[in-house]
Amino acid sequence: MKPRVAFFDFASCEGCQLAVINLENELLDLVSHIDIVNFREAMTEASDDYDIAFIEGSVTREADIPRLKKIRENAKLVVPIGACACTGGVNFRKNFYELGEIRNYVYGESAKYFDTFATRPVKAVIPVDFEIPGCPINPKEFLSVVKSLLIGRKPEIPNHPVCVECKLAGNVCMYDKGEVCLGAVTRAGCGAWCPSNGSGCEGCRGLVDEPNKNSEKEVLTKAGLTVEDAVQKFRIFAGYFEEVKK
Amino acid sequence: MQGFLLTKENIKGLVSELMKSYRVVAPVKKETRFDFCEIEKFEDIRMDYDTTILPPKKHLSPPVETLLKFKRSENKAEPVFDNTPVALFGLHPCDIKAIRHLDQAFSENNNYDRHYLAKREKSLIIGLECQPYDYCFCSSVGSTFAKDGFDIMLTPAGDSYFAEAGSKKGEEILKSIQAKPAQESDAKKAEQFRAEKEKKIVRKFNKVNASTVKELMEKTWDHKHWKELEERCLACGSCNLVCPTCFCFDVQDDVSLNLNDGERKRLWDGCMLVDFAKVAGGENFREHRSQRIRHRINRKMNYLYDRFNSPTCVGCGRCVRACTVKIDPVEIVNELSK
Ligand code: SF4
Ligand code: SF4
Ligand code: SF4
Ligand code: SF4
Ligand code: SF4
Repeated sequence: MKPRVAFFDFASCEGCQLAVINLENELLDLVSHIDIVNFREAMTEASDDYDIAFIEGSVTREADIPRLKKIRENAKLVVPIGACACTGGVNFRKNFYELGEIRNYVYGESAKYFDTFATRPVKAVIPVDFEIPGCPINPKEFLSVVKSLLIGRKPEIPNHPVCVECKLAGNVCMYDKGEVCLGAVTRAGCGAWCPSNGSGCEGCRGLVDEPNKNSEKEVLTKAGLTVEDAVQKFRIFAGYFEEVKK
Repeated sequence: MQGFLLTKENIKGLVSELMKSYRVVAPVKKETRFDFCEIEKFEDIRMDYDTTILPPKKHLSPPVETLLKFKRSENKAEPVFDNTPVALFGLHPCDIKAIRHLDQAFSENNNYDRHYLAKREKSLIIGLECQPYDYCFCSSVGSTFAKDGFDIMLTPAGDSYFAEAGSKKGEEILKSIQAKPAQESDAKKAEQFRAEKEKKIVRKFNKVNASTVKELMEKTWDHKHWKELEERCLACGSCNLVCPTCFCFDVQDDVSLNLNDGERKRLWDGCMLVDFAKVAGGENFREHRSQRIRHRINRKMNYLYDRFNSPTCVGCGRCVRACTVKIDPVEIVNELSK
């Protein structure tokens, strides 16, 4: 029997689900191996009977918690996809402000209708099996994770920094062009997407294990950023990491 | 062997001769830097380049290389070899020496890396004498001049180039383009160019040289400097990946969506990366960045010395150039020998 796959979204821009839909040709091949039973971005029917749940988006409301727990009960494998789901993503930035204050700032007069709480990733609420980081996810990496799951192998997300893929691609380093880049402390897997297209890495895939944050901060300030800007730069995507929270 | 004198016009003729039977790879401009790329026309070549982002190695042992194709259902695998003839044009002496190291590493003790050798056997090396730039330090590691390892070596001599053949193939090519035999005075000009070059090398080991750096490394295993580097190093692996004498790789299998056809690939790897010395069970032999830097520098200056009869760093300076925190073998060696 083909594995039954479901997609769910929480606080997100749905860009990660779009990245999956944009696979087009490969998507057709893929659906010959899996049954997609739940995918709001692409279909209207929904089912509670599935094996793999891909979850997009961060958790920002009380009501998200029972919904996630239900998904965990139903699915054999839970796989958060994208920065929002894996580390809170850009949404995590609000945690650096006082909650009431930021709510008023964002929603103004109608703030009282939005009962949000501090942003958290999926794994802070339910146990997860794998994660596919990135904002958005790399469609190729998504495919390779699905293939690994289908042949029963543990999917591999690189544990080295973006610099590795950047060097394999033969790019001129952003620092050589007078720009800054977080590639040295950011987990690879995107194929050095940004530097290969002329802009510095923003760290959307999250930090590598054991990042040397202090040294990278010095690199950023030597390249012209103020300390405050360097801190803010880390917070765009990596606010959830202990190294940045501190 | 006899020398020839090649005018700029002759060099152009040489390149178009090569382009008839080889994929010609040469230094070309890439944004703010240079890189070894396949050229379409002679004018793409930058004879005045300083160094390149990646070493010419990338055309003999590519960053990502398919080793074999397999079918899971049939339990069958076919090796893949790419032996398109490639002419590597414009290599500086350090890079020529580095390729000699690769040749040895990929063939010694009857361990033949047939993927590398398939390409290497069909390749041609045309060297170009250089000028030192901000980061290199070849004289400290004995790679300032190339005596062998090339098919043709070009040395600027006034407005022309003094050309020597280093192999039969090289000699045949030089004869085929009807290059003029060089005069005594042309050879002198080339000699002078080399002497000038040597004078301009300013980055040096202070107290050791190519033969004694090995002993220094052995005495400084517990030096406090390794710990200091721990603070700076980002463990990004760039220094490994740009190094012409790093040859470690990782092997990965990739299956297509039909879950049957697959490819086995190798990708450049580096000992500065955290997972490099991790083994099954999670044990990591070089857990700390300081241990990894100490390993890398020893690998270049000490460990392989006896096998290669030389340091395996060729002093090209690419690692310093690529490092965003400017960790520098010359500074390290000088700090250790203080
Ligand atoms: S990770 Fe990025 S692309 Fe994906 S849902 Fe969140 S904001 Fe959108
Ligand atoms: S551009 Fe960024 S990712 Fe690429 S080598 Fe430089 S620092 Fe690393
Ligand atoms: S280069 Fe950095 S910001 Fe860009 S996609 Fe990759 S991890 Fe994200
Ligand atoms: S020495 Fe420099 S280039 Fe090498 S891993 Fe450390 S920070 Fe990266
Ligand atoms: S260690 Fe550095 S200087 Fe030495 S050969 Fe490698 S890249 Fe060049």
